[in-house]
Amino acid sequence: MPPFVKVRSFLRNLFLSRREEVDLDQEVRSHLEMLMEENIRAGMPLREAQRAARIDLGGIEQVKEQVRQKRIGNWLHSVISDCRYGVRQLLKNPGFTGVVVLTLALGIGANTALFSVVDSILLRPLPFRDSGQIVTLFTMDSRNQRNFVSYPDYADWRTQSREFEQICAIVPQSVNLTKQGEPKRVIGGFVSANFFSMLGVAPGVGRDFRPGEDAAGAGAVVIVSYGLWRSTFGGDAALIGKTLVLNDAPYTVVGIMPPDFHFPWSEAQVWIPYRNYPNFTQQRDRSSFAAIGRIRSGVPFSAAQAEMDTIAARLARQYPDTNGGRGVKLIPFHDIVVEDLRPQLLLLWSMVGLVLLIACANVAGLLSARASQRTHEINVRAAMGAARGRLFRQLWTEAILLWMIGGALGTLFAYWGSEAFASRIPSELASSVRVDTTTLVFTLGISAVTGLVFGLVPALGLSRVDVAVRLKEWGRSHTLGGREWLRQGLVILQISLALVLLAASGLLLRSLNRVLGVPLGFNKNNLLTLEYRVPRSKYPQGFQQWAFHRAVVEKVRGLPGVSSAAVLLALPFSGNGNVAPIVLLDRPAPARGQEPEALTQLASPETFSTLSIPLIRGRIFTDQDSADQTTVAVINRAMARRFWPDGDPLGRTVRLVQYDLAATIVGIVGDIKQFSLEDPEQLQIYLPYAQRPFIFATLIVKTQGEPSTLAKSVQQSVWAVDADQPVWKIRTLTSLIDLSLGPRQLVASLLSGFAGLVLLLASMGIYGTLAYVVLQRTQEIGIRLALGGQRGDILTLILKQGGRLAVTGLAIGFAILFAFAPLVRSLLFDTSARDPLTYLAVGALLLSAALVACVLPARRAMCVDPIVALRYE
Amino acid sequence: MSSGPTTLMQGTLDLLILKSLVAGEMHGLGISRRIQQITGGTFVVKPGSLFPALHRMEEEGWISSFWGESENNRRAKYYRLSKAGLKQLEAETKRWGRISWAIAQALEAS
Repeated sequence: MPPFVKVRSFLRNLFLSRREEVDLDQEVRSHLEMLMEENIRAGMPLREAQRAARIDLGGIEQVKEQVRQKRIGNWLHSVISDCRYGVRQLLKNPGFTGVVVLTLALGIGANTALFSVVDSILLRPLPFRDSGQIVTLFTMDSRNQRNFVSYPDYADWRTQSREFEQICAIVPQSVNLTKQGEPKRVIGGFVSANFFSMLGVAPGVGRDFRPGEDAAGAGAVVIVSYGLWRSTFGGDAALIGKTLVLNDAPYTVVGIMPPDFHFPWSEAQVWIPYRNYPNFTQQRDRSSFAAIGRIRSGVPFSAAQAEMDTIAARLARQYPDTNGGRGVKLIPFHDIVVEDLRPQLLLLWSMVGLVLLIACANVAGLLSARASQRTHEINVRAAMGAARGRLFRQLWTEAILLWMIGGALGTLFAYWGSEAFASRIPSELASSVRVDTTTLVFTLGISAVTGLVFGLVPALGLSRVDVAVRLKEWGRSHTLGGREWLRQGLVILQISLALVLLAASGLLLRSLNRVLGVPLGFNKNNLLTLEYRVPRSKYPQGFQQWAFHRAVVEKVRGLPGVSSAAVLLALPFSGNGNVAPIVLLDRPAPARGQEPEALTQLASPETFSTLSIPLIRGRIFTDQDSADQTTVAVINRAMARRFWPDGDPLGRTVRLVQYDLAATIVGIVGDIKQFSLEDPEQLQIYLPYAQRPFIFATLIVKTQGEPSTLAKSVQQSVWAVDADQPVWKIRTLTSLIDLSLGPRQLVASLLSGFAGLVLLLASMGIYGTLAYVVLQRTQEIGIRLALGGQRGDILTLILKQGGRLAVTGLAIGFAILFAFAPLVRSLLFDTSARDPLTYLAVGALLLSAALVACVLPARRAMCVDPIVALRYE
Repeated sequence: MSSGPTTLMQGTLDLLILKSLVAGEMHGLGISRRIQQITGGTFVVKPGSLFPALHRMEEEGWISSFWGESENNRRAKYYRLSKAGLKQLEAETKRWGRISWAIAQALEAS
């Protein structure tokens, strides 16, 4: 029975609240009247009786509020009414609401999106068992440069180490896949047999490599990727056991990797035991393998490093010729994978943190400014019997409402943002990008705390002062000094952080500009390129290989729409580039391992005209530079300047250690950028393909029109020479260069976006604060005007106040910049981290934005009508 | 409130209200005066505590209310004891007896 009664009361309180209210009001009033009648009967005069009854009752509204608080379901009821009231309040101030909601949404959204990306790439472990135990083992040469490892060294490491569960080796190289429709070039990974078991993965179908399958003379087996299995073999379930022709040799398929397998270094489509690597060699001075090992669990990183140091020292003693001065360096695999992106991501991450901080400061400033306006309202409500807790809750409700709208919008932004970001980073990383729920919860939490803390400011003073005193004081003073400095401090904080962000993005933009202005050294326009590797089995002799290249160039040159064609070993911006030691015969030879290194290219005579690389002196190759003639070389200007600053390089001899070949310098050409626009000056040597043939070549085609339209016919020309010859990486040089600029452009544009956002937020912060100051000082301004103050003076007064905030903020911002600017140095190009021009520009930009934000409230102050202002309160 | 501990004062007020309603239905002022009378003027219940208690007890189902005419032909809200209220009164009376006995014992002990 009682529970039922309670439920009924609860529902009645909830749904029939208006009737209940009327009822309660009548009850209390009738009580008051009866009290009064009682007093009259007792002989009091009417006024006295009324007064006594009022005192006795203790205030109609107070009694009603006390009853309300005791009701069942009171909490729910008041929450609903709080919400209703809150929504009304927010709708009444659409400007305030909009600004706060937008600030929150941008802060939460941008922060979560960026942090999710950083988290998915930098912080999330690799998808392998105990991936923290996996390390990369590099050979360190006497110049302390990281290098891969030779096969014999790798074999020694493997047998001598105890602290590693396994060490595996991999070398990626593409592979010709033929007799399977059109000839294809697929990405290959030549690995030791323990590669998959070291990672802790296994084929989804079929089996892993068996131990020993990577030994000499073992059967040729291959494991294919899920992607290749689907695309080329149509997901044929019977592929296991079938034979594939790779690099013109038969391989038996033994396994298919599962779809989620993904190795960060190589998107290999076929995995082959490393003995079959075309350049496999037992030479100790040929470092071609990347070594990756798994440290035994429980063994500290330092112990593994110490063991490898010992082994390296032992090998150095044993093989002083090749291993003298060589060490081994262990680097966690994960660090290597994210190495290139880390500085950018960390910069973005800290910038985003700043944005969140600024957004929170902004919300805090706005809430507290508004709170001050509401002090009177709060006091009145307290006087009318609202309990303190009830007032807190009302203010909280509003803050929570704001936060919920902002948070919902922010969550939406977060999803859009991370999708947009993921679409612009390298695909092997993008796949792991998803909105991180923890981050979302974290940012939502931070913003909620900000809202709750600062939403409460107006109620904070309630306990301190007697309500009646505060009510009396109203009219004379809104000046609650303590809050004033808080608000101004928040604005100063925003401005200083905004300056930091603006300066960072300014520096990056300037760097980008510098990079874009770097001369390539060649004409990138209208160039179509493709790569191929002729099988050594089919073209074993150098002259055959050259004949193939020659034939292809001749065929392609005859195509309509083609102006010229050439072959080059390593295409600029393709990531390829053979940097090898050289020895000059006109001076004493340096110690072994200390030789200067030059980018060594193979080229055909047409290469220079096709790429428009200018000839500076001497001559370029001709068809007369054939295999039976003296080997010739063309060097770049940088090399000529470095070694023969006053003399003449023509006729000198350069020895190429790698090829064990001496060549006579016959010409000097301009420098080109090979790897990126940011390359430092580099020594470059070109040798004729005819004299130093090779199986690999990049075909470069200069077209008269849009190069990509000729892709098909150029490919057909290659097949006209050899129908079984796969070609790949058909692309334009401009697309490659754009790609190389991608990360820098992305970071610069993201950061500029943030900088713009922050500029807006900081301006809003200044505006909000000053608008409030003007409101607060309306009366004072009125008096000044009434006493003959000039309107111009009033404008100056307000501008001065805003200017003071802005200048203080800028000063602090510059102090932060000077302290921390060097941290971004690694991201800059040809730009000082304390570039005065950038600093000046962003300072001026921020200052003018601040002044614009000041002008609006200042104008309002100027237009104050003294009469209205004095009556205002 | 039907089970579990209640503060002494709240319990006392509930008990006094229930007790005063045994005499018959009454409006708020009547209850207040009745308590004053039966406690010999020791307890004067102010509206600020009386009304919240009445509304709470009504929600508990111990008393019910209706609008009626006062002695001076004024509309007033009357309260009457329900069955559950009577039971509650008995329980509260017993509890109070125990408490007052215990307190008396405690005070007599030297």
